[in-house]
Amino acid sequence: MPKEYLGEFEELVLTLVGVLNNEAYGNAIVKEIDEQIGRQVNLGGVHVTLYRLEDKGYVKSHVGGATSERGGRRKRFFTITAAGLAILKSMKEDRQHLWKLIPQLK
Amino acid sequence: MNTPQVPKWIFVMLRWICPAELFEMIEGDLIEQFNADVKRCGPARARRKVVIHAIDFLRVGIITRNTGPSFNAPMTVHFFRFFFRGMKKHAGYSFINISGLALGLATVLLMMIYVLDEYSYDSFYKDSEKIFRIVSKIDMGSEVIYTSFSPTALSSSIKQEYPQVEYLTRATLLGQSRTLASKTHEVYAQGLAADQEFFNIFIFKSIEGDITTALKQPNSTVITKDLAIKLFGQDIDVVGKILEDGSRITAVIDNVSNKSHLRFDFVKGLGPNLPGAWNNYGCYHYVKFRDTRDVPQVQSSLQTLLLKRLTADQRTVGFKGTLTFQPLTAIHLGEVTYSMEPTGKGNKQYVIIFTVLAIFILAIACINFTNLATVRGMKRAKEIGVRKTIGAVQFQLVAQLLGECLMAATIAMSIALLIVILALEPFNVLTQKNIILDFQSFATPLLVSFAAMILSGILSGIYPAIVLSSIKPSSLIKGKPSMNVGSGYLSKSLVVLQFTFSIIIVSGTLVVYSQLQYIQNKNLGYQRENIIRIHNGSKKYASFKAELLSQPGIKSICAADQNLTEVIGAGGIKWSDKKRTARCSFILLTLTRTFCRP
Repeated sequence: MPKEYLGEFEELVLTLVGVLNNEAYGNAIVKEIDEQIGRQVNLGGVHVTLYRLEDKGYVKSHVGGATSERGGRRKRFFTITAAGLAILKSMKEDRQHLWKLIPQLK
Repeated sequence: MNTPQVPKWIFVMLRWICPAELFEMIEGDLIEQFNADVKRCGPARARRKVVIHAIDFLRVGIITRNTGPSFNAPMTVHFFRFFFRGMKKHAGYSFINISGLALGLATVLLMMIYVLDEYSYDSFYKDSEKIFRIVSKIDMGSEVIYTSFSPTALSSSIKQEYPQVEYLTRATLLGQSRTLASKTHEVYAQGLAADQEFFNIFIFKSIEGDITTALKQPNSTVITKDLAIKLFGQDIDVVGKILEDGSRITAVIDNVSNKSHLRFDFVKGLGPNLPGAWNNYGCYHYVKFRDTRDVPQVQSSLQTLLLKRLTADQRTVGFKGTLTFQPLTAIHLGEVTYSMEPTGKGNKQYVIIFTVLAIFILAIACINFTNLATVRGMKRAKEIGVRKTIGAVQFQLVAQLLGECLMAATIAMSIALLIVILALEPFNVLTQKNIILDFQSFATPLLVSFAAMILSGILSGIYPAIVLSSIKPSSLIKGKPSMNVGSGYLSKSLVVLQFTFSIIIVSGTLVVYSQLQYIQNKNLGYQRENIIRIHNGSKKYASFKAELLSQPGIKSICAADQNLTEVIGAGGIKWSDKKRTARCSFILLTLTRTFCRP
């Protein structure tokens, strides 16, 4: 089976799902990205990416309880799967391997 | 206190584009973000932001996640394939259904084109609503005469005393076709004599020559493009040429439209107006008003003037004449038939009959289509039962059944259009019109038949669609479901209505047909096929007659001063005890003796 890859934004969102652990849903991810690395991302983009990651099996989702701050709408929480963790890890290793080959960084 | 709310339409839009299982959470995220934004930067900016964020969800990644019936390419392909398979399988049914609607729509289209064409007579003239013809009613005591002529004496009075009238022209048709000859060609043409103002009232495009002065000189002639080509073989460099009768061509104008009540090939100038009696109805008068609001006032004032002048003159005392301003566009389909009408007047009754017929035929076609499609849809109970069993939702079934009917109606409409395009030429010959495929004559009929197509498509699909898709699949598959409840009355009454319409139309057609048969076969005392009329035969009648009689095929010859089929000119006849005030007109025809006894 050929090795799978993630795009840069997919990797970012997947990482954040991991970071937020059990508290990852659309809005929380947008806020966290802003707070942690100061990058503005679109809610729609995050949603689409989350669904795509779910299709690929890197995250799984469950529906949480309703809260008043959202007008009674429930949240869809995402958690990272083993496959998700594995691909994050392998991507990090690949990157570090390549970094070691850059002469200027030595 | 009013808390800022996310605009409602956003949720409606999201509901359309988002899959059902994702919609709630997307909405929740938007509301949460909106509330945070309200705190951070105020309600106005928050609202702007939420709109942008909502629109941002219009993404391929979201929309293609819809698995429902609203977006399903393979099923759509399947429906099309299924439709055409069904058409093939029930070829006879499909043929009857679609061709029936197509024929109906085509007939209605042609009828509507005819009717609209009749209604649009003369409206192409610039400012047609400001142009009026003065028509007359003459009360002769024993009978009332309506004529499109008016007293010749009017024209100078109107010009002097009524500034509300912008232009006025006299006009008269130059009898039957006249011979016009150039050095090389000789042709028959329909002529008109009028004043210079004629071209200020009826605006024609001038191809050559100055139309504003074209009739000022005596012996001037303005000819149409077609006549120029007939006479000289060209429509340029014609101005200035002299015809054989000595008149000089001063302008060439565009051909007169078939939709004009006045049709002519050339216009000659009218001589100066000679003061005459006010009961001398000698020509048409056309006027163009500056403002149509003046019409009633001018009409009543002119009527008073006419009566005053009639009473003032010893010869015309007691003559009862009435003047009316007839709008130009009302001439063709006017209620009253005036004598001396320049061309074949339209018949308003025919137009109404055609309109009613068109509505009937459209109704028959639609009902027929609806009934057939309904019955056919009901027969598909089993298929629908199977579909439901394997998971088709109601929306999908409704869309399928409706879509199939709409598709059949669309095919019928395309065939109807094809029929109309092919039939337009024979239709023009039949109705003596010159209708072309253009926006002006086709826009409204097309729109109406398009609406009829959509309506019959929806009507024929809606019943089976709603009824069948709401019945439990088990009862559908078992056979006769309880769906006949209610359907009986509707379709039965529709069938009765349809048959009623058909019988009315068929019997009406038969009556008209036998009337026409009667007209054509009625013994008139002579053999129509054996009689020939020669126009302007010869001035040397005696030798002409002798020469003709020497021909073996000719039995007898008679001369008359007018064309038998269009006798014009009424004259007064005097007899010994005729009362002075009694006025009656006789139609006179002068003949040689051989007319009655060959």
